[in-house]
Amino acid sequence: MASKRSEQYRGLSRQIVEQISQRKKEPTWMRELRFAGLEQYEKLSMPKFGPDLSGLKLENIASYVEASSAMVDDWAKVPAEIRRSFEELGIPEAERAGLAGVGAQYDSGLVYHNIRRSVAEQGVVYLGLEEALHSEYADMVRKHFMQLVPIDDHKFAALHAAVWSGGSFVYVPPRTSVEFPLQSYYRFNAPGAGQFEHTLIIVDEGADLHFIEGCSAPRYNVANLHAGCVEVFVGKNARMKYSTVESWSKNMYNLNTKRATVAEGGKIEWVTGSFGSHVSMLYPMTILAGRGASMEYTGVSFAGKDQFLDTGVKVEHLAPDTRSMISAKSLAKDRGENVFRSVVKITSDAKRCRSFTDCQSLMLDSGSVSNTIPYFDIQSDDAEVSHEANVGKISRQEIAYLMSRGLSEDAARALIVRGFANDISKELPFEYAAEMNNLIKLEMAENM
Amino acid sequence: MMNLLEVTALSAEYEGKKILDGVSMSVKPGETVVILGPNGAGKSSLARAIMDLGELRYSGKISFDGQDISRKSTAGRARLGMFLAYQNPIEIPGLPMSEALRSAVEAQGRKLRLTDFQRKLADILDELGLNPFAATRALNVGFSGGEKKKLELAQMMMLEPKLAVLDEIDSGLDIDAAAKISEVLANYQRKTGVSYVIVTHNLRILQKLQVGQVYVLKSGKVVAKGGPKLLEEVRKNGFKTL
Repeated sequence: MASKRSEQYRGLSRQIVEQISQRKKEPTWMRELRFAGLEQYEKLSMPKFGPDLSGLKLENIASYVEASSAMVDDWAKVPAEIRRSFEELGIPEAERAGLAGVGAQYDSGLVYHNIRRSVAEQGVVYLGLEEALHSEYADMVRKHFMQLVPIDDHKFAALHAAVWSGGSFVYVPPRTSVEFPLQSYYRFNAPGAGQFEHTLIIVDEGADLHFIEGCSAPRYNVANLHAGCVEVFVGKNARMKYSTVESWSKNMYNLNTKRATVAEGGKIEWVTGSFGSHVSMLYPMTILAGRGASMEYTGVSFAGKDQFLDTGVKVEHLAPDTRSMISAKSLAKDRGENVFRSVVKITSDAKRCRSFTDCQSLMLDSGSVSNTIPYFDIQSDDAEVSHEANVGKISRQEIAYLMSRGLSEDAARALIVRGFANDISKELPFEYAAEMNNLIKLEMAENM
Repeated sequence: MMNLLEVTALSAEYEGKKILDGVSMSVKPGETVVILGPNGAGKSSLARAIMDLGELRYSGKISFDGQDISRKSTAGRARLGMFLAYQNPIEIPGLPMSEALRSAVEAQGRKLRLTDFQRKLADILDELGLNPFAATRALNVGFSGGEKKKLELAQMMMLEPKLAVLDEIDSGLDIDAAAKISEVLANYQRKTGVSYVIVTHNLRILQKLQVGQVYVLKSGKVVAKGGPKLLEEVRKNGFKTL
């Protein structure tokens, strides 16, 4: 199948939003939501903290790039050049290697979506979000879409509401355990484009799901913007693991919003590896809404030359006996900057809560920057809260020790860094752990 | 027979103090050389100088296997077949020993299939009486002193050096463990023909080994040199008379 030239909408106006909505043949409520998003976007100001976003010329960002092919569920039908670009990333080999389903998005549109038959037979729903809007799950989408992340949450959430496109919808029925992870892969190919996919996941009572998200893009000379949105609803006694390996190119502004709410006895685990982008502002937030709900965050970020990765975690303990555990590691080299922000809130009704934060930074040279900015708002009188942070450098002794085993200095450093990030690799399926190790190797090799 | 290692007039200073002062010594292929001396004599400094860990500037000359290696880096020396078992092994958080060793074996240019590598490593750990999972845990982190010493030997046996410098490999080992290690070292030498330079305070580690030359260091100088008889003398009288 030959791919035709893709169609792009550059900048943002009511007309463009209208066109996007029309093309997708959306219901009125969604069109209205887009307009409301646009209105908020125009009202809201840029973030007043964190990295400099002045390089992001929003009027030049293409808010919508029509995928040059329709979505299919047969990999062979995906146009060759798009297929090649995913196959370089190990998709869909990864699917064959034991995933419950795979979705692949190229610029603004999904090009591939497939679910393993045995998983579908369990009643698990894995659809493109746009497809879901026209399916029997339309009401469920409507009930949850942008409920956790309100459209006026911040400027880029509003932008997302106005121009969102693509993404996945997942529903796991009660007491269903999805044996294999589901995976969505996002790839940007159009220069100067924005990617605004929306991921909506509902894990019903007692169910269990691992969802993996991978992101990458080739490098262009113009700024690209990623302002996706992830909303996760974890039901009573349900479990959800959300893993991300992100290797956006170094011209990307990654201003993504992720949020989860967890009901009684439920649990969410966030596993995040952030390697790419020029600027990232990403703070997955969890609302522990039901008694005994819990959250674990394990993340590593690697900031190299010309990178400012402002990442972190927010957690709100709204119910008694809730727990949160945050373990963050950051690496900086070649004047890269890393900031880790953690916000822990515990309300007065939330008795016997526990929250632990551990941030470790490793600086690979003296020009790099690592900062930890914790914020606590503890209203409950019996909360157990702790925060540890330390910044270190690779010691000469560690390098010499590995060199005495025959490793070059660079190889020794790379191994030490891999060791530092090992907590995260351990949480990931094998092929992702291998990809992460590769990314570390690449980062270490660059400019050294 | 040509010497495997030849150290000539090796000296080094640290903060204005001579810690090695014109040390000369040699090791033949397959020989076990013992370095003795009171605390602070410079024994560990000599062990580390042979490997050159980049800590100090050395004068003098070191030859290994017929080539002058005085200017070779630590890694270069290791790749020629030299190994140092650390007195205090360095902890590397998160990095499993198996991963470090796999990279080290690759750096030697040896082709070893993953399954062969794993089997060999498992056999080595078993021989040393270590838990098979020891190789998958972070290198030296959370191990007892004695276990760390065994991990050093596991690395040696995996890397198959021509010369292994063992810096107080017996400290932290109980009597039975020391006897066991002595036996492992002897077996390994018999099998591979490796040469040892053993720095020790505890002569028990030597019981299964056939000792060649013995050097006694004091204040960074070689004050006595001899054969196994010198060991007996030190055992009886200590270092005072030397």
